[in-house]
Amino acid sequence: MLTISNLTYHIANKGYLFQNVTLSVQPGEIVGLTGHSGIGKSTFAKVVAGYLTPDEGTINRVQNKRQPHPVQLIWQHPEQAVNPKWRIKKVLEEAGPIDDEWLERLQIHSSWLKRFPDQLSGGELQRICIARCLMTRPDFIIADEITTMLDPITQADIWDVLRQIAKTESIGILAISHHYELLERLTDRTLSFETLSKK
Amino acid sequence: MRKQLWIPLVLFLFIYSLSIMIQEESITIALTEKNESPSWSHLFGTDWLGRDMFLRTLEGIQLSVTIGFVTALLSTTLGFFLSFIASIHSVLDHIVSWLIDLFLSLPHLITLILISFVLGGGFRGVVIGLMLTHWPVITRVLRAEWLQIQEMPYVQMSKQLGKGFWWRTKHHFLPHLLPQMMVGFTLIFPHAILHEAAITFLGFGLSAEEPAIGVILSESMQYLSSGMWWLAFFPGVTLLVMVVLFQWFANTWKHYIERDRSYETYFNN
Ligand SMILES: Nc1ncnc2c1ncn2[C@@H]1O[C@H](COP(=O)(O)OP(=O)(O)O)[C@@H](O)[C@H]1O
Ligand SMILES: [Mg+2]
Repeated sequence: MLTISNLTYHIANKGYLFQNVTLSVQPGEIVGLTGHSGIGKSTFAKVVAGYLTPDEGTINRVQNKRQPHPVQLIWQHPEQAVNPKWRIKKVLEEAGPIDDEWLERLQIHSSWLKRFPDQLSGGELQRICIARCLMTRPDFIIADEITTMLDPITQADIWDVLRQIAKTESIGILAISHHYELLERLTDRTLSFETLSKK
Repeated sequence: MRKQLWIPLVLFLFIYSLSIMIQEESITIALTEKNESPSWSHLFGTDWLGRDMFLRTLEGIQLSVTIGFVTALLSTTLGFFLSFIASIHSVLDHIVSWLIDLFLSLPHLITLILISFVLGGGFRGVVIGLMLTHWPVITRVLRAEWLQIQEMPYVQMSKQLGKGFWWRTKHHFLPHLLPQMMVGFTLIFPHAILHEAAITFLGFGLSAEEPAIGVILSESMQYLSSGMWWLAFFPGVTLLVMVVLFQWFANTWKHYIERDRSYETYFNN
């Protein structure tokens, strides 16, 4: 289980972004986290995934040296999450040897591997990022607005696969979106970030 | 675009290889042929000892290019290491930034003369002097590049994917910095050549026995009044041609590898 307790984070000169956020995610469970834009959801995601250090509070999953973080973050903008000068093959290999199973399940065509990131559509590139994330065998995934930039059909496709994977691989997913209805449809339960981070 | 790149480079390399083929022994004293103005047998004329000025000029060019190359290489290397140190911790960054500002606020030529003078002049003095006055520009640009690359989401991601610092350096940082280092190198190169000639001319650089363009120019001073214009004209023009050729190449190259133009404020003055 991923347990986040009393997480507090502040931004210099701006005060607290959130305080005492407590939340847990079971393996295989999909939890939604919603809230209006600018409230601090992405920052929260980065703290939980180990990109930022919290002021206070604990997270029971931490990264071991030279090991992938057990909580992997998928970013909203896939084009920022891959080195633009690398071919897709190298992008994927950053997470280890390429696992064809994931390519297949995410419908990644093998001809994409020799392309550069700007030669794929946003949805295709996001699937690459998801595959890379899954290749690290994470216990939990934080999906931060991962389909916000995509059209509804691509959005539905991606979430179908992710939900399946969550169940078959017992990966817990924290799905972040400002879009409450989307989360209601996708998740087992949805929390409001505003309620969680009552100051 | 391609032509703009290789024409100056080929011309530059042609003149440089010509200068390498010159043996110092082939520049002989021939008092019967002294003080001759330019002719077909002596393209650039001869000096007061009858030495062929074309050969002397090429010999000087070879030395200039060598100094430019060594200096540009050392400055770039120093810039790389200092910018790397600055990227490690904000305290180190403050120190490096302070040093950059300090050196940039000093007048280039005077600092150069002082350093070269303190080190006793000569090849070593000139090269170290040039290096110590040219590193701040490249360090400043590389430091900004380090800061930028380390902020990139895909680099932070790399860490979360389990990649260590050295792996990230090799695969993310260096490929990002290398083009900027090459641009810096090509911009320092002509600068160094001109500065070397300047301080040697003033007598603070290479010693008078060296076949340097600056030495040729300062020696020719006393003969100019007697009408021997070719002694200064051809060496000076050849040096300028080399610098212009290289700068032409460097400018095209800079655009060619599509890096940002953050060096411009320092060099296009
Ligand atoms: N490094 C930072 N410096 C200053 N402000 C920041 C920084 N990171 C985030 N913020 C601010 O924190 C707030 C929350 O941002 P974010 O976590 O991206 O919110 P959300 O994902 O909910 O839209 C925003 O107002 C943003 O401008
Ligand atoms: Mg966000």
